[in-house]
Amino acid sequence: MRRLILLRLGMSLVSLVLAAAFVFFLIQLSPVDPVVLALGEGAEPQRLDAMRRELGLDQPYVVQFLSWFAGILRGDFGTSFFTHRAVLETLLERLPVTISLLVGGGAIAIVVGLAAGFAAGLRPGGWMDRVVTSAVSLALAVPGFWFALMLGLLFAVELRLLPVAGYVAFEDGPLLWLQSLVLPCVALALHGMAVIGRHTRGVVIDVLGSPFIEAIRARGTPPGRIVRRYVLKNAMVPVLPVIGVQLAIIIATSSVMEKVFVLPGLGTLMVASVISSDFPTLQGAIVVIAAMVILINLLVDLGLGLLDPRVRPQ
Amino acid sequence: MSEAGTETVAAEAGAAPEKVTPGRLVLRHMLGHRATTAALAGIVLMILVAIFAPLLAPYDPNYANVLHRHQGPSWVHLLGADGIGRDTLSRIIYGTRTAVWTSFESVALALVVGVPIGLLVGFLGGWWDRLAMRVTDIFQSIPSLIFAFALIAVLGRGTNQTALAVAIVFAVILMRIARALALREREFLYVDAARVAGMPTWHILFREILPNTVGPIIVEAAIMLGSAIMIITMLSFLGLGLDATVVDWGSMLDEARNYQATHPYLALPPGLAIIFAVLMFNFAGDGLRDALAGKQSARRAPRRRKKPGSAAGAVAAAELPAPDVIAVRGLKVEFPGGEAGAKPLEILSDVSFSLRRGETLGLVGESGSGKSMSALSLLGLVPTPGEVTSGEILFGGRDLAALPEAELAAIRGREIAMIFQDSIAGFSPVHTIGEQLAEPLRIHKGLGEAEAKARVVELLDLVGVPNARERIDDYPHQFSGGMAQRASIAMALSCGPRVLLADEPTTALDVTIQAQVLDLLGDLQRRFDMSVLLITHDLGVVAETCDRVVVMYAGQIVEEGAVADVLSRPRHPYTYALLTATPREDVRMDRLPTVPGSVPPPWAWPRGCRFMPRCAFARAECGQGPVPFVGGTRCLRAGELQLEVVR
Amino acid sequence: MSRQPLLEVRDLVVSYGKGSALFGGGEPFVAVKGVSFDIAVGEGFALVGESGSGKSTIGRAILGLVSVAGGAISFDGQDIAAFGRHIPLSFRRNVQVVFQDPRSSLNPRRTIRDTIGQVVERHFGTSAKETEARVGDLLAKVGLASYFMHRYPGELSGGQRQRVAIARALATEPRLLICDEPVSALDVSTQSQILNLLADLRRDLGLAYLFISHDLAVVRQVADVVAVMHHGSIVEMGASEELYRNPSHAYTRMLLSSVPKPDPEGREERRAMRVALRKAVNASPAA
Repeated sequence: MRRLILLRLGMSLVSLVLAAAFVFFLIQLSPVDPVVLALGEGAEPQRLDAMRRELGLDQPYVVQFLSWFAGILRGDFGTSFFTHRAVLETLLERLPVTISLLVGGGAIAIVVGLAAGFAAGLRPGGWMDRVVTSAVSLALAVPGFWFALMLGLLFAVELRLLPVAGYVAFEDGPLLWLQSLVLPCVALALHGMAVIGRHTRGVVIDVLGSPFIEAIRARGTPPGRIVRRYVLKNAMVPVLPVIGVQLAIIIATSSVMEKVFVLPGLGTLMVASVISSDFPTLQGAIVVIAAMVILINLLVDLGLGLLDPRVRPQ
Repeated sequence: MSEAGTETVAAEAGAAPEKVTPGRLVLRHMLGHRATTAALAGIVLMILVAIFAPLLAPYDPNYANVLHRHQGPSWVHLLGADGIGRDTLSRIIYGTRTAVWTSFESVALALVVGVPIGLLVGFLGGWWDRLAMRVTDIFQSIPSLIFAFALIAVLGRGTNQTALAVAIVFAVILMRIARALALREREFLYVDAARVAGMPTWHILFREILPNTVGPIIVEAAIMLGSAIMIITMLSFLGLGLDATVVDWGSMLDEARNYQATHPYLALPPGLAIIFAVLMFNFAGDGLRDALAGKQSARRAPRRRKKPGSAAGAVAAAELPAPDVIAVRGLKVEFPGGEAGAKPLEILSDVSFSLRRGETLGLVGESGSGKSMSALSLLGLVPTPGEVTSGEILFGGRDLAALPEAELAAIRGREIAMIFQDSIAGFSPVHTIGEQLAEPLRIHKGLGEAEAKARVVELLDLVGVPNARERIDDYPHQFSGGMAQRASIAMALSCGPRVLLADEPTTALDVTIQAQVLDLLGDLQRRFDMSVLLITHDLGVVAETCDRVVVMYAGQIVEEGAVADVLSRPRHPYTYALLTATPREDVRMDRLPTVPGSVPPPWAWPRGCRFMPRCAFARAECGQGPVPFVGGTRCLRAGELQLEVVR
Repeated sequence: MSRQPLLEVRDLVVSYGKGSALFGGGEPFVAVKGVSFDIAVGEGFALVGESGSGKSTIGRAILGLVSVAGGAISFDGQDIAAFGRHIPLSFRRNVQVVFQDPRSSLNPRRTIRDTIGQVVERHFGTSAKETEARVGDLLAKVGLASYFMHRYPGELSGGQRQRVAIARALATEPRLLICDEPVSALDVSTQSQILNLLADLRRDLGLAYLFISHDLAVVRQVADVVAVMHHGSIVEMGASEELYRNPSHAYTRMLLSSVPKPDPEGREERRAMRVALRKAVNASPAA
């Protein structure tokens, strides 16, 4: 297991470098010249050159990347072209919202998805299975942000149970913080819940039909014990990677929920940076998100290592 | 040209099935499913609306009549008007055009780029594959939507740019899928056969592999069309998407959001339009997937099962003749017919035999004879949707065929144990061998963890697993086939069963290991005075290990008797044919005697003697009706035939 | 029989890489450790052994499906290793294969006509009409009616599929046919039909066979010369009748004694002998 942890940790670092490099070089393809953007169309060539030198933009791209990435490792994400603030400062301001959404939405998606998937898969063709299967089909077709609008309409506008929009930081009141996150998290969880539920159902049906379950039944193990002891653990092996993918998608789609519920997270920051061509901020935000996704993937891999002896290095 | 050939043609021509191409079969399956048909119709409808949008829309979608601002549904505006008085219905119709166009554009582009690259790197492998995989690994850490943000930052905002960004995201996903499919197909021997035949690489890739991957790729593409609509509306809702002049559902929702508190109705039409579109693509994809897998639309639930728990029947059955441990009488197992309303298939017909105390009984037959089903039905393990529909299985004063599941579970593993052909697959891959071997001891004998563990070590020693103490912490995949079979024998013996059912226990093993395992089984059987039912297709295995033998063909028992008698003087022509067709390592024959044709499937079993079409001794009367089992054989001509096996 | 070698295998070594080089994976696994044999024109040569003995790998090496780590393979005096990645059609034409699993060896999405016809067209450049006629002839040779041409593999029984696979191999008019466990996926009653067909084809077409099998009883019916493999090496090789009657190597003896015989008489004696031989092999340092 220790070998597995070291191996995966090393691979995660490689992934982070590759992701950062990819984002950096991709953004360099943009026709927008940040210096022209900063100084305006009519600026004299000397001033443009001077600023390029100052920002190191006259260096080869590889050198620029290395100095940018070295900065990130030191905690220096550069400065925004637009607000002229340190990127890191902005990111740290926005991160709590994104993490709150990830944890809340992810927890709902995992708990409800697994429960529904097991309930349906243990009795395929039963009424529970039919309910879950239909709900999953519908949930997969409902756009999350529209669902969010409808939730807001019902619980905030009509019933006045929860706030329509806005974010309250945890420090300013835990209850208000929780209230401001309930609707966004539920809306965010919708798709992940459906995907996890559908996948779990299929996996459970597969596991129940596998030869070792037949062999275990032939040994006289009672059905309840078969499910608790054997189906659960075997089913989690293929479900875990799907959970990882869904969490990554939840991070990405939280940008839409941030817009619906007016929450100051990384998502709206990225959207604004795309619109204003604020590349240092955009790159920084994407690297932070990539780091979060890589961490999730690492946890999934380690979880798999715990569950399944076959993936552990010999 | 060869005699063997011509006989077969004659015998197999009769069973010629209706000619259907795989493609047509898939289409038939899809259309047989109502939801899929509806989804296809829905997609066609959307395409038509997209094409004829100018004819269908009552207004110009951008014409704003300020007087009609926020008007609800009326005859003038069927779906109402938006915040600046534009007709919602017209905007939904033109939005359909945008949705259909952008989604098809992005998915088509992604298919053209992603699939060939994926197939190629998957097929070639080596450096190309590793390079492509490193590139796609990057997208494991950057979610698709975020990747789309970065692409839009580079490409700029606009309808085609958005479609292109989505296309690039999808191309990467499709490349992965196509690669995985190519890797899978590459393992099939038909690819090797094509290479050996000297077919060029492009031929193998596009004529051999591609046709086998088209189905799954179309399924993905259908579902991607839905995802494309979802992502593009999301981008445009965020303000990153389409040109301001283009009418689309996402920006309609963005506008609706501004009036959420005062005019909530505005969000409904575009939302429902998106749901409809995505639902149609998903249903079409799922339907196609099921059709490719050959799934039928919901099978009939099994009908009458033999009533469980009828206590009277169970008690009445109590008396067994002295030497019998298990007596099976008139057992019938049925499966629901394939198509709705079809007659059920009889997999076992009138199976009767008994297993005596301390004997090894061989149950022999070719694939499809029903021998494994007979063993599974003894323990109530007939796979769903099959059912025991009549007959009795008498054991220890009970009728196992009528016993409820809970009581069967108490018998399984304790009084009747079973081992299977693929012993490794018979263990849960994520639990240690020790944990699994301890299970019956803990359930049936109530042993504690430490006691059970000590007993497991003893048992593994007994069956000849070396280093038992260390090996109990190993997982099944760390065991060889032979060792895993020994371990499963140890587990079967752990509760001291009276009966052991062994279903092809050595078929998957090498011949030297097979001999070792069979010798071990023989030793243990004598030592513990068990009755063993040995299921096998190999008459050699029967001769080496069994006392008596039951021969099955096409769901029936055709012969029964002492091994020495049946193997030297068979009374049924099938037993005789099987014996003579089995090649022997101690004799070289110039020509092997053959049996024409092959075992018929259950839906093609003849009405009379089921072996008649392949039988060298058949007469007209053999086909007239079911043949009874008399005097140890099921052959009308048993009295007159002299079937001596020459050695 | 004059032993004019059609195929010569000299000191063949085949190894498979294991694990990824990036994270210091294991050493390569040597599947074939210096194997030599000849096959004469029209000869039936068999490699027998248990799983993992390397017998199938040898067949795949001759077919150019795995790369060779050492030694030489020559066909009709021509060195196969010298071809590199691109094996000429002339060699492909002479050496063909029938695999074990006829379900996997036929493309499920193509008709029998396409599967066989494309080989005919590739090697003889025939017109569509000629191809059809040839495919019909080939099917007749393996005992199938010509309407099978329009069928898909999924519509055929196991025995019929194996006949199609044989017809495809015959399409190039080969001189050496490699049969890799050609009957082990079939039921006994179908197996003997295929074995007889292979014997007939050999007699009528003068084919040489490299027969790869784990089944000693099957091998005895088809082979003139038998080589017994164990852990990547040939432990014993000789004329089939001689080897079966008088096995000299302890492993061969144990192997032969392990084959169950469909004759209950004398089984206790056989069992005693088997146990003794097993001890002998376990005691010998070679095994």
